Amino acid sequence: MSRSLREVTLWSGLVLVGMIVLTALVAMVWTPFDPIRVTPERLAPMSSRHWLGTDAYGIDILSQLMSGARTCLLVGMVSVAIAALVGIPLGLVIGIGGDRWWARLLLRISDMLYALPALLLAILLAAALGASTTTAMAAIGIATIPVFVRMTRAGTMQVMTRDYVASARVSGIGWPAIAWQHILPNVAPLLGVQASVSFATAILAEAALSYLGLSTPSTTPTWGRMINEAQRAIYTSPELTVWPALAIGMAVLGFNLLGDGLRDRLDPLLKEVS
Amino acid sequence: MSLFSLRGVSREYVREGRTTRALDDVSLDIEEGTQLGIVGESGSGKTTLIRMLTALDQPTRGHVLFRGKPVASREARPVLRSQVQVVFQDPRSSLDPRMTVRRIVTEPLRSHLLRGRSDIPADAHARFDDVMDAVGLDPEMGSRYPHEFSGGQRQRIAIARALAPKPSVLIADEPVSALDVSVRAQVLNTLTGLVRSQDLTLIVVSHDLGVIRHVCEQVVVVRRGRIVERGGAVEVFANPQQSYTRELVQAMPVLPGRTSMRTGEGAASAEV
Repeated sequence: MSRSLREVTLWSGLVLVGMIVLTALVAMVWTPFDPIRVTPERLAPMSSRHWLGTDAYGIDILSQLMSGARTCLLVGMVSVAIAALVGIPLGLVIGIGGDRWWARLLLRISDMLYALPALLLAILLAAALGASTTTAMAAIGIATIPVFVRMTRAGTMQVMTRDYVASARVSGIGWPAIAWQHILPNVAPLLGVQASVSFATAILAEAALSYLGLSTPSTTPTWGRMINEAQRAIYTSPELTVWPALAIGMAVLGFNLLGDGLRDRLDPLLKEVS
Repeated sequence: MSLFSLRGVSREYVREGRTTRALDDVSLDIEEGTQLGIVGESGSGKTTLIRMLTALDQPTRGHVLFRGKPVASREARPVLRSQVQVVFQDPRSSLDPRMTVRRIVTEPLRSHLLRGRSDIPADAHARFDDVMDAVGLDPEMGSRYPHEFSGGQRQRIAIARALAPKPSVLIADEPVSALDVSVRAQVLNTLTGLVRSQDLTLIVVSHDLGVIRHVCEQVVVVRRGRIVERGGAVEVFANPQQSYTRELVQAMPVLPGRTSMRTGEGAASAEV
């Protein structure tokens, strides 16, 4: 891929993600209409008053979309943070452990978690604790842990072959310091890419969960539940499903492009490092 | 008591069901204060030998002793880690690309094993300036990153790091083979100068007899994981007993640069 095309990938990702972040920030202080209050203006068409019309409950679509961006980013951030905070240290420990039995055991346990779908985990958590944004974030976060474990382990094992690690060992530097000062900084670019890609997956998972009613309660709009509700009026107003679907598509595409762009940008660096 | 004693040391690696023997029943004593060269072709087990001496790896069979105690033991390890330092072959790999030169060079000083050693200056900044001077680099360059230096300069940085904790033993694994021929002599002279001025025990591993002859008084010839010949460097090179050693000696190119190596000697023997 040519250099300019790589830059296009990175920049389109940045623009899309930037738009969503900006929308979410604006939605925290202002939306054109109340995104949850039911009004008599049902299924209003697109107009200068309601830019994208209203839904079957008379709620402004644009306001819901804006407010949904907040939920989507919140769930993405918290679940990726959970996955990273647990997965990265575990991956480091397993990577440093290498071929030792306990490292292999931990890796197998992580792989078992990998086989458990986020959806199933969310249903379990929702059944046990009640459906909420928190259970959705926890479910997606936990299900994403193995992704970070694998990625961190792979990077760690690569860095472990470098002589600067051997050199630190020869000088009596302990493993925690080696992990913190040598391994982590050198696998950080890899993990940044992974975080961006996982963010996209998390958004998609959140949309699926809220579509199924396993996430945020109806007091907060989400893109997934908007699709669910639009379904009821799909024969009369099919366009209502299009807007949230487009929003989800944009967000997923944005974070994936950002991840790809970052990887391409960092690749020469990663090659030099490794 | 010998500095290092290897007793019947073998190291086997199993990869994809196949066993390769990197070291095969090696016994060797390395005395304090010596300048020992370990020579052999690539793949002959030289680097594995170093990994044994520095307890980076454990032998499959046999024992490695450091001043009479097993290298990995509780008594030997702290002393080993604070007194034996290694200069690796490729400075691109041995210097962390994400650390500044100052942090790289002073890293050994951050080891908890050095706490309470009275001969190590508490001031890492002062020590950094000293060792950078000793290897002929400007201490002002401390805030730069390794990629901003040439290959020869990077290897000097690696030597400076090895010197920082005032080791009594320096092990160099192919210290110049990753470098341009033009800077090899400089780096070797830096090394020999330091060994002389600081009374270091030096163990140099190389496939290049020229390097060994330049810096070592004792030599051990390794082939396929076994020691095939040992003795004083001058005798072994003048009168090799084994056909393998003869081949190595004959394969040695006579470089016009060797004379310039000699004339440059002592240039870097600054007091540290």
